[in-house]
Amino acid sequence: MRTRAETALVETIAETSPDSVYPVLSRAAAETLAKKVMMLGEDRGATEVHIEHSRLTVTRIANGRILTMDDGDTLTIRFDLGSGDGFGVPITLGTNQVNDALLEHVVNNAQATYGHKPIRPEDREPEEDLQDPLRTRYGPRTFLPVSLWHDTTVEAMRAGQAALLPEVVRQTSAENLQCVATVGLAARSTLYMYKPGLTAYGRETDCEVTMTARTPDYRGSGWNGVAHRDWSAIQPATVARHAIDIANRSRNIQAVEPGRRTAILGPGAVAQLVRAMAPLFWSYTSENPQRDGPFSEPLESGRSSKIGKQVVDPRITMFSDPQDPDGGYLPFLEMGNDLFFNATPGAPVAKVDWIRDGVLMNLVRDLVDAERRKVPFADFPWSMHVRSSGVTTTIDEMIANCKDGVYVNRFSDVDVLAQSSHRLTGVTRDGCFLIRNGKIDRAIKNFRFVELPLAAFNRVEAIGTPVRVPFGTQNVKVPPSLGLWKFPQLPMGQQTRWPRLPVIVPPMMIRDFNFSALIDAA
Amino acid sequence: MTTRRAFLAKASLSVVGVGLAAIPRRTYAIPMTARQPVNRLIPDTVDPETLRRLARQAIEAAVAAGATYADIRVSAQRVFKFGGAPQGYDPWEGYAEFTGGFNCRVRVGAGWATVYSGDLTATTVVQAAQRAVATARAMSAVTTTPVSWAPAPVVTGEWATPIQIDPFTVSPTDQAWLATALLEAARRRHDVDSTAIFDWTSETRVFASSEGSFLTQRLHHARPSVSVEIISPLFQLHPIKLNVPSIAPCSAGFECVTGPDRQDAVCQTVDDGLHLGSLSLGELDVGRYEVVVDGTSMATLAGETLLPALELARAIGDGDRGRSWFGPIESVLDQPRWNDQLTIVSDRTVPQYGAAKWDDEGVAIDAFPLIDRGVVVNYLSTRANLGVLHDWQTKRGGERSGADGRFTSTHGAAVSWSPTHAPMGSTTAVTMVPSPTGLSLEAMVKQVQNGLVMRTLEATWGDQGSAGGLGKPLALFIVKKGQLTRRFPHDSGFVQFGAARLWSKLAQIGNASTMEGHLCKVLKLEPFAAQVQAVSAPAGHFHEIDIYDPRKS
Repeated sequence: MRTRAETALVETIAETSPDSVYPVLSRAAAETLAKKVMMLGEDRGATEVHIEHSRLTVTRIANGRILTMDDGDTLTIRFDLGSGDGFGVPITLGTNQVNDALLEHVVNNAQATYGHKPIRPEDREPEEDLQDPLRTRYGPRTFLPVSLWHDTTVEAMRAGQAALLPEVVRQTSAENLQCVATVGLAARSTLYMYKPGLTAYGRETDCEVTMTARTPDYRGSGWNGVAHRDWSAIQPATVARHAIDIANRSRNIQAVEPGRRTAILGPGAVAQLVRAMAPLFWSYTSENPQRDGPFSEPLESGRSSKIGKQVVDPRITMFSDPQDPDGGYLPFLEMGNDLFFNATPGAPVAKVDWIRDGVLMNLVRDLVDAERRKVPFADFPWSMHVRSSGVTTTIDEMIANCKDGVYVNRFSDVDVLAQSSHRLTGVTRDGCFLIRNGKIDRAIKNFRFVELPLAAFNRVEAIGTPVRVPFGTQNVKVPPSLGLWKFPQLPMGQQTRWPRLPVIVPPMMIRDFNFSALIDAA
Repeated sequence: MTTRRAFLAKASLSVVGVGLAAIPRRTYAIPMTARQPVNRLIPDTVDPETLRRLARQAIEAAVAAGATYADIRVSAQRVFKFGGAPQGYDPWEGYAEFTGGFNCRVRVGAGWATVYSGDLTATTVVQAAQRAVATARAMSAVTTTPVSWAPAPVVTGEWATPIQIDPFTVSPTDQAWLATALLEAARRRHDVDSTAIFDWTSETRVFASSEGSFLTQRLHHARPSVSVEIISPLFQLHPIKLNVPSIAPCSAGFECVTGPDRQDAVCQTVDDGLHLGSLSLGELDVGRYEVVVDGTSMATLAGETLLPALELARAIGDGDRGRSWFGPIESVLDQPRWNDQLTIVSDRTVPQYGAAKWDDEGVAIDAFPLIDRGVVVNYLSTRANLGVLHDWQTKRGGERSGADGRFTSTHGAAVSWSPTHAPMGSTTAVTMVPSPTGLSLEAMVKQVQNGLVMRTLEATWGDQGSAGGLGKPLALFIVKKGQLTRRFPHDSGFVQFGAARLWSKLAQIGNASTMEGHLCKVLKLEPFAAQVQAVSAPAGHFHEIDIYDPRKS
């Protein structure tokens, strides 16, 4: 964890840059808007404003033609008003309309609509006394410097992508396959502003190219993709070639018996496991053990914490770093998980080592809990980097060393089956092959898997070199505790943004992986 | 429409009635202090004429720039969500939102482009239309494969969801009182907890096209829900949780949650849960069982395995929506597959959830069968891909060629899940038609000699083609000689299903008394928006369903 001396307040953008360059709100424009909202509710104690502005350009290509190119922006403004007694009245209002009259009307009527009965002092829980120290967190803070904005991506959004895609379009009509490609570019700016002085602004770009190719009988398929914040680092034609190659290898699919086998998981598969593991690191303990996770910590003495204990193979290291050169993310807490953390969107975040050399180092904690235990606060690791602290092995070497196993190009629909054990389930797709005696033997039917990720990560035979993996437009799996019914997720919220936050993972060879059943889906 | 005063008189009586007749276990502090209606907070400030003017300007700009075709959806929307399970001094939680936006779609030659934004100003919509035309023109230079575009009548007009009480004219305080009354109806019994959620959407949506269609619709959608949970110490580790079936998503106003019959329904659900919870716990062996499922579970299975698969874009491999096990269409359409009791209808007519008069391509909405007596007869399509179905029918020739008119219209299946999303072939509501000669749930159970009853299957884990998955019911019971004998602990039994096999084992469908609903949420849109579909289904009886315990694998 960085010390205060190692951090410095750094402007994430040059304030003199002209607004016309940005497809999203610049810092100056976002602050002006936020101050306006704050001023409108000044006599009612308006305390915080959250603004998110994102622009997406998405091109969808299928079977030799461009289906459509979608281009647009989404603006979200949320603000909370405070009450006279110092408690923040939990009024949450959302809008995407920048209309002075409308905003003033809403702010003026907000408190009249929803009132809060203050909790009597004798009824307060002891933890609530910690709210006072938290007030200091609304003051000015310093942030890690990050580099998430690339003008090349913005330029590609402006220029349109047609000039960049003819080869992809031609490839999607080749080789008697059905091909679908998605190309997405995104730019986003976020501002959190609080009356005591905390202001957090960040901007970022991101892009992703994915392609799926299917055989005419709908039974075989291949997939490949790449994600990077800098459009100039992406080669769409390469993506297409790999997807087509896997699809061609997937003709003449045969079924094999499910069961426990050695699995060589490509990065596309490992990434799905790792993303689904994010809630695993939650330290929260409830009264119902079925709702606790494997790392839940006791409220009082009893079950010991697993911090400091060996939980997975010693070659595995997992961390989240805003300054990760392979990915990175905004250096402050973002809206989405704050509801359950008593935390402040906009509060600075630093690198977190989750597992180092197989040892559990940190857990996701409520801000109040972190204060009480005198440990760092850490949010869910929706961005994760997994790497080997030992020798790395290529996929070809893994296959060559495998007598009997399965190569999985990608997983899909991965989700938690049971919170208490964090047992995961999902399915293979877009490339599943039987390995016999060190070689790919044949394409096989897809499986469903059921696995305990911690147990699987204790059966690792080999680890490769990590790469960032795109997720495509797959279903978002939001932990049920985050209550999707209550508050709609922001379009670019932590769980729902697209492209997804960077997940950088290696291929892995895992013995006795549980392929529990055959499935019909191709 | 009932006036607010009349509603309050009626609702207040209901609240007083509960207060006098019951002895509440707890006294709830209702901290809502606002007597002002919700629309004081989030007014309807964008008048329909403004939206219509923006729509006209966009179409004119697109045509002037050279669009072959252009359409636009312009919308102003208000949302008020309200709910929770208040205990003691915890207040109800609420969220209010007002949003606007448009989605302008144009075609130039073979190129399509869509531009969207939340900025409802003339400058933005005009520039967006022009930008879309420029992009589409660039696309048409790269792709030359023509896209078919099904014809549709040019329509003009207005429509509004018929409601009695506008929920935005009701204050949060009154909504809290009514929700509390519903919760109290459950909590009058010992150790029963409950949760209530009210979710209201009011929207004005304008559609315009370069063909001349011009439509204004005022839409009201409601997503209320009340669930009860038996939480005595005996059940704490193995809770029984049931939804109140008659409080379900619909296109209606506040009246859908008022009335003393709602509290009766809550009490009935509590009684049902207490009866089920009174059964002793037992151990469940994995294996294959004869199973009777309630309407909620049937709706979940249909929503997981049939509804997504019936999207035509998935079935023909167009786009990134995912796969469908109902493809290729040549091997699926009009092929007898299942029990002839199985009929599924896409129904966006009032009072179904998401009802409207025209869809988001300006096509008139009507209820139409997707599966008719065990045969897939249609898909959810848009004007862009309807031609695939028409071509299939034409190629088949013979007596069916063009005879039945199924594929001359999309039947209003184009849905924009938010104002900024382009339309896609989908639906907001499907109904599995109950059997007129079918049995009640109890009567179906009586027919089972050795099997299971599944209640409230809500959680499922599917796959990319909707071809199967795992599901975890909230309650699973063993049946011996037609009687419920034991229930199984939470987490002990998952159902594992392959979609094709599952529906081939359907023995019978229940009657109208067994109808229940389930909300399917698909979160697959970019930018993110929740795609919420209401599925209604009767109870069902399957010859075989696999029960699986992942802990034993």
